[in-house]
Amino acid sequence: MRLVDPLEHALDHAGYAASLTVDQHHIKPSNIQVVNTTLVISPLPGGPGQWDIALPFEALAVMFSFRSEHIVAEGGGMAGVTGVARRDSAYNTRTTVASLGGHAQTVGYGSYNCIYSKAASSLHLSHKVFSSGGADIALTDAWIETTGPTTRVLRTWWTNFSAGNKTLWVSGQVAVLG
Amino acid sequence: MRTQPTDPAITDHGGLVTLPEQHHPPVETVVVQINGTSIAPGLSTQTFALTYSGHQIARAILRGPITVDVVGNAGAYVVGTDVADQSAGFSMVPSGIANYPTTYMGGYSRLHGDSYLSELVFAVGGFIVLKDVRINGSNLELVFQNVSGVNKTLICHGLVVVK
Repeated sequence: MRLVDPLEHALDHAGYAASLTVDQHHIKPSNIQVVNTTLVISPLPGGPGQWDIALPFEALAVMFSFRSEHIVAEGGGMAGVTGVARRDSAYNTRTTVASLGGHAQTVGYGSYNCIYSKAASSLHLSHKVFSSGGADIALTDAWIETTGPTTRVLRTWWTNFSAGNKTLWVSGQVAVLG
Repeated sequence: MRTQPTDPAITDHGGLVTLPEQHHPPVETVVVQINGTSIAPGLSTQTFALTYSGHQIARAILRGPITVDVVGNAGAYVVGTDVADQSAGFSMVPSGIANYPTTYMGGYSRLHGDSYLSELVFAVGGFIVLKDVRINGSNLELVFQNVSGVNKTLICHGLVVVK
């Protein structure tokens, strides 16, 4: 029996994995920088565009922050969305997102700032601010998907409301909380 | 020495022993689905059981029933702790309801002495405010206040991550 140095403790599980299941384990928080300016998304009635962001397999929950190129305030503030997502195996009702910022140039001139929750069956999780050169793509859903025996992703779905193909325009960060 | 603990995630590290404050339970998520709970005027604490104790931080994104656009809702985005009245957050009430003809968005902090963490958006027509988000032992607690003089129906949906 020995005490664990608190500074080392977070990493000191490597030799003991056999006694812990994946769900019981707990990893250190980590940050993943993301960008996608190439995904072409077809308009409705086509299905949502899908963008998978690789995560550590042990990830149980993440916080994400995505920003668009859409200016919402004088001084250059951009529209975007921030939220949290957890594990689910299919199209889910459990992701909750706060969407900050919206279509217009300034708050007070039609800018939309709202809270969304798939737990309350919101159709989307943001306003339509994530396309290059226009406000046509919305974040529809986000959840942690198991894609293989040792792989998990943050699966994000995006919906194009315009009449023609649009290119997704997103940069941001995904923080793996544990 | 290896032991067979009753709570593997807390104590099973192959016999290693840590002080409670050194350990860290796995992250947990709580889906909030309060969809029509009548509460009397005054405070009402909604409790959600957690699997583990020892969590220190709660990240909550909660929305109420007040629609502010064709799809969006008013609500609050709060970071809470394992101590009462140390939460802080961001809340929004964009225009669209009768009592709030203009947009309200702002930061709130119980630690600073703010009396609440959101505007009155957790009941149809208003009147219920979010007071605090906190971890109490192995429970997550959302504290609301009905500021009207009659019973109101609490509606709150969201997701809370604790660690």
